[in-house]
Amino acid sequence: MAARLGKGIDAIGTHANLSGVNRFPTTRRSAVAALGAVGSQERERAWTVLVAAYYPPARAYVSRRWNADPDEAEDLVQGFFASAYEHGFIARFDHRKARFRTWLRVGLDGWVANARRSTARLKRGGGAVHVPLDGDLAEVLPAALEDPDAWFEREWARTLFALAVDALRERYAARHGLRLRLFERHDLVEDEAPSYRTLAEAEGIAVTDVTNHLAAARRDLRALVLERLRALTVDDEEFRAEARRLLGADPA
Amino acid sequence: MRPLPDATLDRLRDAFEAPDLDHPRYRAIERIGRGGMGTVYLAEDLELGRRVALKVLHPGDAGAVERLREEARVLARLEHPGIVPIHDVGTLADGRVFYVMQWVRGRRLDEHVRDTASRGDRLRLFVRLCDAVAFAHAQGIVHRDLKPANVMVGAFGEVYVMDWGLARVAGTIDRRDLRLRPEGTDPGPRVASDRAERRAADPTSSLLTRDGQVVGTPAYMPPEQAAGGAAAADARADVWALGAILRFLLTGVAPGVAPGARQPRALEAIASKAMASNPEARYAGARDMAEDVARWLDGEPVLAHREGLLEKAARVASRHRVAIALVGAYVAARVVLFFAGRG
Repeated sequence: MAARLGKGIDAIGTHANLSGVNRFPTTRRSAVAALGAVGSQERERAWTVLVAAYYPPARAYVSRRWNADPDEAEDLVQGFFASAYEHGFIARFDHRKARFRTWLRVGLDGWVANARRSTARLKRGGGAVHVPLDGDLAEVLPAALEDPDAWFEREWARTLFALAVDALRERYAARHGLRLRLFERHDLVEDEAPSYRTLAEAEGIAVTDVTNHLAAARRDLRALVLERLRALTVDDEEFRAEARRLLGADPA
Repeated sequence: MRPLPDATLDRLRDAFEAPDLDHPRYRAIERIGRGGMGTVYLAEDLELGRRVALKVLHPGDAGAVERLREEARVLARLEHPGIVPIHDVGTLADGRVFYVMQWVRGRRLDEHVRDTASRGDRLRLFVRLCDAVAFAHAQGIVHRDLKPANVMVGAFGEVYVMDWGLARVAGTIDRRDLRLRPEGTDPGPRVASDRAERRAADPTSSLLTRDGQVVGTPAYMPPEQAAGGAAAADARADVWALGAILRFLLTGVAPGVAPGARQPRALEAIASKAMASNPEARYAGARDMAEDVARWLDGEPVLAHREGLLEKAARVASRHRVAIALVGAYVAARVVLFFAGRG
């Protein structure tokens, strides 16, 4: 599979090794804008940024909307990104016409639909023109999704936050073990979070210390999310609008 | 990359939107409301050890910062038991402006009246509401967005007028009313416009355009304000809204919706006078309106309505029903005794 992939996919690893998705280069420059850059190094770095942020939501989206099993979703999304890189599809994005996320999702839908049609044709013996019967429609049509954009946006937000959380863990691992523990036990738990008092008693510190540590961790996480967001938006206006949608607050 | 479960993602996003807990004095406890201008949190004042309401302005509208500060300044001028006092104004670490006010334990008027069956109780609440508004008028301040959702009723029936974000101080030039957006200019952030669209679709929700020409809530907005004359809105604009609230209290439905049972003519006349199209025909202020409602409660004739002979008789009978009942019982007893004596 790796041989099919473009350089961006190589940079983040195949589905057998996706730990590299954490490699979100620190930048304040827009990766979307840099896709059209002259220097290949900058373009590749921008590509890596975009793949890191959009690959996981794209895979989840294809699974959900196109009813694909994990392996097929992986193949479809890798194929899409590889094709997009090789044919310069993403470099043709014009931010004045659409939001990047929407544009990418629509492109992904088209790509998957074509891939499904090709697969269906091959199953039936090659290149003959084929009109699908009712029973075949499920193979080439997407599943009903009330608001595909909203769904994709949520998965994208999930990835963005997960990338930032990983970066926070990396940053805190060496110097802020207590802060990281508190943050993981309070903000990152799936179930109901314990009270500040419970955490304070467990760590043998004052409740105000818990408050301060959590506030600092949230501030740092927020900065990390915004840092990634800035790289994924074209200009300051889009950056602020996306920050408001994602965080409910204007980036100060 | 470790995927984040839905609950964790939501918690992180909520934590970002919530006020920064690192504020040295206040600690947010939970979100208790969300309005057109900001989100209100129950918070703890760590310095004084008391619970307060902390209102944080929505992001994305640069003018809203000034409006929130203005609301804070307006509230600071209004020391009245029916107006929630403001304790503090500040800026969060992320740049959002907040102010801290008394935490009112109670329910919104529209929620409260669902369980308040007595017309008399509703009208007494209304008179207290008018008292607070009249006080503001006396200070030269017009609320401009009075509606049941902006009135809180405390546990002991105390009434608080909330959300003075659209208030205007008489004699000042309101910059909101003067700002005009040239055609073709940026209509503003998407989030802000989405919110405005949602508000526009809800007649009980506040409207505040970026150019500031229309402020208030459609169902409770006088015609002159709806026509874009917010700059000219004076105390009589609030009187119109009070008339709409009175109708709501009497009928239980928002203005414009067909009411069920007929209401006493005198009360209907009070509401109609308050909601006259011509501001000159309305009560001059909330105090006059409150006095008319109080007259009805006391069984006296109201200024807004010229009653007929039968109405007058019914009102007098109603006002003196105890005395009339006693006299009636006395007369009946004498009649019974009379016939019993003859038998």
